[in-house]
Amino acid sequence: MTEVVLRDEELIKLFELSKLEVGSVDIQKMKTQLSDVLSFVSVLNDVDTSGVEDTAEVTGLSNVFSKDEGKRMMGLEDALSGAVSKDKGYFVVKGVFVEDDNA
Amino acid sequence: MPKTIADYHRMLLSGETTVKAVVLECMEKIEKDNARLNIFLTVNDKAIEEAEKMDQLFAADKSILERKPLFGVPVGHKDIFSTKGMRTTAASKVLEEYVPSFNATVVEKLNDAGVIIMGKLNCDAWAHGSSGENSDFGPTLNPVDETRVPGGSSSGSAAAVAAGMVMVSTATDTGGSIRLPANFTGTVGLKPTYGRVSRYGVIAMASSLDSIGHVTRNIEDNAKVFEVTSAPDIYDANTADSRPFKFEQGDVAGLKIGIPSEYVKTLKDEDVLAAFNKSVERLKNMGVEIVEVSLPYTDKAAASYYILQPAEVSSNLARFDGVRFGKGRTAFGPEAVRRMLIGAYTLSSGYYDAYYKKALKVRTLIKQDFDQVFQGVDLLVCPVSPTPPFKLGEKISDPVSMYLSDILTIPMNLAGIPSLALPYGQTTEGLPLGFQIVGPRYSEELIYKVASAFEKHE
Repeated sequence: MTEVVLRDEELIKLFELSKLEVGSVDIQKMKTQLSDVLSFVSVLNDVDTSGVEDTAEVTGLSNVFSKDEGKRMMGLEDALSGAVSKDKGYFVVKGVFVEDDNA
Repeated sequence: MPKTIADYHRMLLSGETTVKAVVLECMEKIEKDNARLNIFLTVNDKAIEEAEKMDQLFAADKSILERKPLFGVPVGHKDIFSTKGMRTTAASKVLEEYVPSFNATVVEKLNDAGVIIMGKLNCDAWAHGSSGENSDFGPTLNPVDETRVPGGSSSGSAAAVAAGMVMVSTATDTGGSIRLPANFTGTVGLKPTYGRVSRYGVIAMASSLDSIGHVTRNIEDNAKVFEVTSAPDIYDANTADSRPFKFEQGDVAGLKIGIPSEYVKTLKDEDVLAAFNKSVERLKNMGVEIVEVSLPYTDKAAASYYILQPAEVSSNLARFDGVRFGKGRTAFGPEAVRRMLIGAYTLSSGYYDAYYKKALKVRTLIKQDFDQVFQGVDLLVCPVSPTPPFKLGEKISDPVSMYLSDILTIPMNLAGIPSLALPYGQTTEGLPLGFQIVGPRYSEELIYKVASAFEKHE
């Protein structure tokens, strides 16, 4: 087992990639816990996998298509039913292009 | 409560009971014990009303029992199964107020078979866990010993059956999440062949590993439910090869059952070992030929799983953006955050080959181990857990020690094969013990045959 030690900057980057806020998370504790898990899984480094194919799925199925005909669909009201913010049949989202005084 | 679904239907026909009486009994148990055991997150306050309607339907046409094999059966759904009009939280604050506008396929099938939904069952949030302690709404207690965990992630599912609050619970098993809680509560839990039961409408944890199963008190009820859920579904393309299941009982003498040495030689707990050896003796007395076999890559399975599963989790939880449903991503609990971060790491460029691709190759080796072993034996039996049910709080501060609870169940998920956990024996303190019967893909007919013969053997 190789010991993996995450750096602070790596941890912060992982939060960004996951679209998660650090918020009140204890960074040092999270770093230790993640490093423990990554060290635990690094035992795979010792496994000889030369010539071994990937298994991404176990059913052996490929190209499962359905007929191009109407299936049951979710109506507009149902689709919007869970939304925090909706308006005239649309989900309301935070602005992407917003005025930036620093621009 | 009737001992089996068959008994229940017999008692309905003879007039010894009614659906309302059975549902009332369940509701009374829930009212008395749920606040303490924390099994249900949402209770169906219309259950008794629905039971009365069912009694009317039955009075008008008794043959309804032939068309609806689970008529009147009180059921609980793990709270990751979408239930139309009934809150579905995944035991997470993110979905604390989420009410689905559709039913999961399995929910729909059980409804068509005549069940009464008693409510939604607590679990580890997002099915992340082996004890139930990762629920954002507090852990579920083990009804057999309330200082101990019921196992997870389907903690509420197993506990509800053990506590007599339902006859059947739905559940999911991605790394052992049905088999471990079944084992810890003395109930019967099925992890079916991956792709045999539709995942549609079940909040996804790891899409290449999630297996949709259920927990019951006994083998024949478990088989009866599987007869309803096992089928192809156009809303889950992975079920294209699925097929119906038919419960068959019969003589199992002459079958060859393997014991994987790697599963037994690392066991340190004497109670677990003793009970397992007794179960092997019982199989021998049934005329089964027991053979020692080897699955050499067993000790690499947990590592492969804890790379692949968090990677798939990080992808599946990306949809919770707080826009179309649910609260924002700040509402995720610590274990979900940990798994998303690990997933991000192992999928990121620079680490992808060393971790994720490597784990995909090790997955092949683990699957090949099983394929090879099943050339020589019909089924395998092995323990489910290295230990009897552990105490609340015992493993929660060390994620890795919690992950190690799954080492005997993870390999079957990686290989996509079925396994049935059944109870057998107890520790000296009266804690439940048991084992699992494992088979190749689509071998559930044989697994249930052996399980039934084992349960009935004198």
